[in-house]
Amino acid sequence: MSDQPEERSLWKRITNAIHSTEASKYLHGGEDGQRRSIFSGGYRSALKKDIVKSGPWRSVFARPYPQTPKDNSEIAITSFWLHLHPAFIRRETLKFGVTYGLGGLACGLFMVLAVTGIMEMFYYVPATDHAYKDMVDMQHVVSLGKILRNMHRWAAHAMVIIVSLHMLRVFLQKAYKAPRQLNWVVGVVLLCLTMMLSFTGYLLPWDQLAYWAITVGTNMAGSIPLIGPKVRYVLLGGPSVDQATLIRFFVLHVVVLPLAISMGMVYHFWRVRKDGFSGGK
Amino acid sequence: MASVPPGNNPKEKEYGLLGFIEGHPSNLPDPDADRVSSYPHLVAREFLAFGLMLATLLVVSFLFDAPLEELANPAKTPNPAKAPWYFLSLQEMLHYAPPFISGVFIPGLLVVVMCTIPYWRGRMVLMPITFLLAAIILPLLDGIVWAMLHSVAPGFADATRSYGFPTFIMLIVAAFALGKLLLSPYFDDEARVERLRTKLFLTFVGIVFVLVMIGQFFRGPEWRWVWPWQ
Repeated sequence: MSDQPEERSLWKRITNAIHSTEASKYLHGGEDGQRRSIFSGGYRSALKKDIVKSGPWRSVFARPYPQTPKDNSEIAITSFWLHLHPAFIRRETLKFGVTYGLGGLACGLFMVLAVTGIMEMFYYVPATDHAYKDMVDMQHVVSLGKILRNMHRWAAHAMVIIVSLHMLRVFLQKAYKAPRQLNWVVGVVLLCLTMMLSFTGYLLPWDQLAYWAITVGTNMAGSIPLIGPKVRYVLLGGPSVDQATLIRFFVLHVVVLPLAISMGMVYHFWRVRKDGFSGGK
Repeated sequence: MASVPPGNNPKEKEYGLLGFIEGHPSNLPDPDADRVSSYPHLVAREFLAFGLMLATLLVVSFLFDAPLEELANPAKTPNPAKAPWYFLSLQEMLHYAPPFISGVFIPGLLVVVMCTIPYWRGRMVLMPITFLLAAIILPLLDGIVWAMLHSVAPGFADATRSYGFPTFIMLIVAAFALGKLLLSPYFDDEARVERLRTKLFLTFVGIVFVLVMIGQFFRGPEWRWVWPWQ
């Protein structure tokens, strides 16, 4: 095509572009001049070639699908989505019995909690005269709302359990030893944040269970000598669990703590990469 | 000259910075270990694990409903009012020890000791674990010591009950005992210390687990002992 003079007519340019695609060449026979069906396998692979060669596709997927061991090692470094992974990993570390996948599962549960939590926020209003009704509506009126709420609740419990088991695993394998001491500390902070996320979420349904669990919990903070009552007042935003408490716990639960734990997780993973996978060693 | 890529012409070979460094160009503990590429070996496992977890979560969510009790009512205190299950070990201790000890001092000590576990060296590794255990066990004994104090000076005992002074006195005594213990030649054997540390940590985990279980399944009105089938 390049040896032909540039076509000035827009219509011609469009038809030329179409005729120069692999799919079009395939259909109109190319060199042997035979016409072929759009339902053949060859047409599909020609179309695939066109899509993979197109500008928008290449802007998203800068490299072709990895085929060789070299591609496999490079994609972990060049792909944004995979760059937290090392290029290579010890075969030993991949065995299920080494990590039980607990850290990864905790991260997966956090992602599930983020997605289901955001979906719950479309229906939930953090007001004392509204919150409980929204919960009942979510159970009985909202399509699949009950499943959404169940998933968020059970994933939250599961995350506390999985994070605790992850910590136990790391202790028993002595994976907190040099050079990983700092990452153990970050892990303890992440465990605390997980519990605080779960605890602040506990109040939001505004049912009897929520109200009295938070009352019991914050009464403990109130027993600190000298500053206890002040601490409790700051937590509750008043003398007792009320609207001020609900909005405080809501903001902590959906903004402050998720941001904090996300940053902590990213740092935790980054340190795992820098210190190397322990893999039981 | 331009036709030959720089790296392929031996006379014009370009060196990266790592080419001038002595030793292996990585800080990996064992550069010669048997390694595979993360993609697809690790990534595929991650996707599989996530898929299985999501499927399990969906099945559980279809089978079991999240609890939702009646509307919050400040005038109607449920009996017992239980904290979330992961705080039940603290609430169980609240039954034995004053609130400051069981609700503030022990959780705070737990976090500090947990954070410092990797930094304790040699025989000192026993310290944080022993602190953890002492923090759980001593408050349980607090009630007995307080009762003795109460028989001597009831006014003082009542006035200072919520601060849990008996626990602090016992902690100081325990720290001295621990100091004596740590001087023993028993702890010169590093491997033995490691095993002991693991045992102590597991004992701590076991105590927390038992306290959570008791709080969840064996406590009824007035925090009285109730069998699950009652």
